[in-house]
Amino acid sequence: MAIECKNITFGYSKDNILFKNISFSVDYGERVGIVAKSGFGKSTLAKIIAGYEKPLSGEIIVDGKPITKKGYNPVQLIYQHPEKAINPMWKMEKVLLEENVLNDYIINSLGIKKEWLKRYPTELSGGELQRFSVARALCENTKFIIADEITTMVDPITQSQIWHFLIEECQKRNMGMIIVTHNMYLAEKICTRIINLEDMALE
Amino acid sequence: MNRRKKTIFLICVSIIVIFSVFIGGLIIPETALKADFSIKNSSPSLNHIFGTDYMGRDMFLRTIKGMSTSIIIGMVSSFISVVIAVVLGTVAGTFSKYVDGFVCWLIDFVMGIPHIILLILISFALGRGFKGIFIGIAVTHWTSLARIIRGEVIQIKNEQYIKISKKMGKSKFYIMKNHILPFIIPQTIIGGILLFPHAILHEASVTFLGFGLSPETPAIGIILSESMKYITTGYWWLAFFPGLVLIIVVVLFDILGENIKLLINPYTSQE
Ligand SMILES: Nc1ncnc2c1ncn2[C@@H]1O[C@H](COP(=O)(O)OP(=O)(O)OP(=O)(O)O)[C@@H](O)[C@H]1O
Ligand SMILES: [Mg+2]
Repeated sequence: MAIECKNITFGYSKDNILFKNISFSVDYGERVGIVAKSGFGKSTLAKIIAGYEKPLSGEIIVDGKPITKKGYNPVQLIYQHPEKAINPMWKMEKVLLEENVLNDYIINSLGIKKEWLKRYPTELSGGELQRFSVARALCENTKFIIADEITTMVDPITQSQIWHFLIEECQKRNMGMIIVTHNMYLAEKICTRIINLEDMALE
Repeated sequence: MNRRKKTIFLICVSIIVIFSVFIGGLIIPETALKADFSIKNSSPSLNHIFGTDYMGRDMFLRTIKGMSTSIIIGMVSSFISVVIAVVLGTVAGTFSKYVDGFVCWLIDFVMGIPHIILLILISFALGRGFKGIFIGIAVTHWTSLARIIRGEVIQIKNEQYIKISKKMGKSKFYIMKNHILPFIIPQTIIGGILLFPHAILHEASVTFLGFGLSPETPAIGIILSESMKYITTGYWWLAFFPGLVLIIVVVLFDILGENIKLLINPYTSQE
C-alpha cells in the first residue's frame, strides 16, 4: 500500500463540493488509470495527491506517512499544460539541470533533440515541451508519477514513444503511476488497473 | 522609422548627452573656474555662451561641472534605493505574512512623511555634505519601487513552475535567486532609471534651501541658490541656463527610462 487516498473530499469553495469520500490506493509497480467525465475533478484530484491542494477532509498517506510539505516530494505530477509548468525565462537546458536529469539516456529516449536545449520554452511546440516535463519528473528521488493527460497534444507516434519510455522506467525503478486520461483505449493499453471515479462517487 | 528604431534612437541620444555632461564635468579642472573680476557679470556671448557670474567664472563650465556632481549623486543614491527596494520587496513577497505586514507598514510609514522634510532632517543630522544627501535620498526614494517589486513577486509566486520547484524540494533561497530575481530585474532597471530624475531634483532642492551640500561644492543647487540673489539685478542668465540644463537632463533620464521600458516589455518591443 504505497499511496493511500483516504476519504478525500474537495471543493474549491465549501458550498460547492466537487467530489466526496474518494478512496483508493496505488502500489509500487502499478499503473492505475483514472477516468471520469470532463470537469469531474480529475486534475484537481491529481493536484491533491501531489500535495498542491489541500483536501477539505481526508488524507493522503505515502509509505505509511502523511505527505510532507518540505523537501523533495516523492510523488511528482506532470501537468496537462507544459507551457505553464516551465519557467519562460529559462533555457531548456537549465530546466533539465534543475532536476539533474540532463543525461543522454533520458534525452535520447524521449526524443529530445540537442538543439532544443539551447532554446527558450516559447520556441518549442507543446508536444516538445511536454517531453521536458516528463524528463524533469524522472528525477532519481521520484517514487510515484501522476500523469495528467500528458499526451493529449502529441501525435500517435510521439505518444507511443513517451509512454514506452515512461512505462519502461517505472518498471525498472519499480515506481507507481497514476494515469489521468479521457482516452479509454489508451488507458486499457497502458494501465494495470482502471478506476472510474464516477462509479466510486455513486457508491 | 519604425517604433523600435525610434526607441533605440532616443535611448542612444539620451545616453550620449547624459554621458557627455557627466564626463565633461569630470575633466573640467578647478583652475578653469578661477575668478576673473575683469569679466564679471557679462551676458552670454560667443566666448562665454552661458555668460559669467559675479566673480567672472564661466557659467557654462560651472553648470556642466555642477550637473556632473548631480549625476553622481543621482547614480549613487538611486543605486542604494534600488538595493533597498529589491531586498525589502522580495523579502516581503517571499516570506511569511508577518514579514510582509511589517514591510508594507514601513513603506506606508516612509511614504507618509513628506520627502523633503525627511531629507532635510537626515541631511542635517548626518552633517551636510555628500553622505547626508546620499543617505537622505536613498532612504526616501525606495518605497514605490519596493511596492511594485512586492506585487510582482506575489504574482509570480503563484506560477505553476515555482510550485513545482518547491515540490522538488528547492529552498526558498534557491527559488528567490533562480526564479524570482531574474523576473524582476527588468522592472528594477527601469525603476532605477526613473528614480534618477527624482533624486537629482531633490538633491538640487535641498541644496538650494541650504540644507544640502556646502556652498563650495560645484553643484547645480548651489549655483541656482546663488543666482537667486542676483536675479533682481537683471542677470537673468545666471539662473536661466543652469535651470534649463537641469530640466533637460531630468527629461532625458525620463525619456531613457520610458524607452527602455518599451524595449524590455515583450508586448511592445518588436513593434
Ligand atoms: N482554481 C480553481 N478555482 C475554482 N474552480 C476550479 C479551479 N480549477 C478547476 N476548477 C473547477 O473544478 C472543476 C474540476 O476541474 P478539473 O480541472 O479538476 O476537471 P477535470 O476532471 O480534470 O476536467 P478535464 O477532463 O476537462 O481536464 C471544474 O468545474 C473547474 O471549473
Ligand atoms: Mg483535467
